[in-house]
Amino acid sequence: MINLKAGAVSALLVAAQAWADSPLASAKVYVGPEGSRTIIATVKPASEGKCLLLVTGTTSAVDSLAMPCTTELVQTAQPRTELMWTRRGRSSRAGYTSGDGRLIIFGQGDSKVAMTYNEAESQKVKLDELWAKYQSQKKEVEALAQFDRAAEVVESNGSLKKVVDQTNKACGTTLNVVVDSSPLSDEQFKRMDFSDYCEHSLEQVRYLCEHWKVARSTISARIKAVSCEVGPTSILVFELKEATLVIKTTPDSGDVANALDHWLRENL
Amino acid sequence: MRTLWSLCLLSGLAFADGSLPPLWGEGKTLGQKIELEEAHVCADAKGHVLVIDRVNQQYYGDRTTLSVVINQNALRLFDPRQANELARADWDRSMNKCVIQCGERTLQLEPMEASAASALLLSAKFVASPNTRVPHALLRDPKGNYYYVDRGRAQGEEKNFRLFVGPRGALKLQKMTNVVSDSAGEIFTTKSGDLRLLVDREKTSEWVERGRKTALRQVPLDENLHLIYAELGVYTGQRLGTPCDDL
Repeated sequence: MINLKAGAVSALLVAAQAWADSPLASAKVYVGPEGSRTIIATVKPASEGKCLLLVTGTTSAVDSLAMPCTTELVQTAQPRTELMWTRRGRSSRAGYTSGDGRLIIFGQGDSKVAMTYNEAESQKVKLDELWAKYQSQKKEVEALAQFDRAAEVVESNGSLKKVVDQTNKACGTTLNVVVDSSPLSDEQFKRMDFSDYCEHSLEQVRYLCEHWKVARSTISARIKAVSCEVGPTSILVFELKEATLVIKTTPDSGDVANALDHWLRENL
Repeated sequence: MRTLWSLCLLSGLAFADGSLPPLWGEGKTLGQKIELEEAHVCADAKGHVLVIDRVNQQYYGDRTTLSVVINQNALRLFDPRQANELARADWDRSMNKCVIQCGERTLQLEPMEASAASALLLSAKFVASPNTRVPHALLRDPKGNYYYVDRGRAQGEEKNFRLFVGPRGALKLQKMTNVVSDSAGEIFTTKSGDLRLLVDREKTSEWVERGRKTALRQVPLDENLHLIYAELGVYTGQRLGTPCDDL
């Protein structure tokens, strides 16, 4: 998941609302396997990086919806353009253009669909129809963009459960894992994937169990539960209370996995 | 040359005081127990023990005392006595054995059972390498006599020099009466003469005995380690603390 500054999230929401009168400038069509297809229409002025996205024939969360998007150039070893949309108040990646010019769209789970640019199809796009589709789906799109903390928690718990199961299997444990993000304000919650901190911690525990027999036997003997809590300061806090590993983090805490690894090696 | 000796020195300096902290410490914390699990402990029927830890630091000795093995680099032990200076000790994952090579001789040591290995690592005494000296300078006169200087390896022993003089295979330790050492070079004064060792390579080092000067030619150390350790006679019979001492 992606952490994004609260200001950036607000900017995206405002940008979406401000498009009511903005005409589309041009469109690019990317075509993938099994009828999958993506239209990315640029909103004037192009320099602002605003776009309208329509993905079809995929398992993407934005499939079949004309969705406001933004493009962000990411400077890595191989620069790429990220295609962002607003989901539950958070900026989320719909896909990206790879170094070879292909468009990669994220599907469900870890799946991806690679699409290639098609000039002929791009020329056929009727911008007014695309804009009209967006207008007709606006309520649905805005509902998706609306912040929904409860839904986020449910989704996070589902993701966490997978990691807990993997950790239990590796460590021979039946860990009871509790995540309490309630002390976080909505703004803090938006910019912090709190559940991620817990997942990363458990993944580090799993790593230890998978690599060393003594880690597996020690952890299974000493840790019966994990409590991921919001800490009072940005300093990561780890404690072993009876058989419960308590992990306290805040939005400003550093690399929890490395810090926990160090703590476990020193304190178990 | 400096790089080679820096590597050897670094390896030695960390254990200079003799109180060696192996990675597994007292084997109490999880981190220490992981280090114990990571260490490969191999032994032979004669009681020789080789330990290779997670970061490839090696220890060699017996079941009660293990000394730090000085490595020439990541792949080789520092044991220039061997043919082609080929000395190595590795954990062979595919064979599940320690493999030792000393020149053309090779030996495989069986790994100890995990609990016995841990017990040994926690009970054995870990000490510095018996290889306590580092070559410092080697010179030769026109008649073929060598002038060899070594110094202490440990921290604080860098100025502890020894001077040996004589023909190949029969160099004798000289009784040093004074040492002058600065950025320009060194003068080693013995009962029989002075060895003026100059850092400036354009100037000739010399041996001065009863007023008579003999010009000396500097012999590169790193290209002549086998000569120094195996042929001069200075280190004959001395252990370097590698498995090759016994192979």
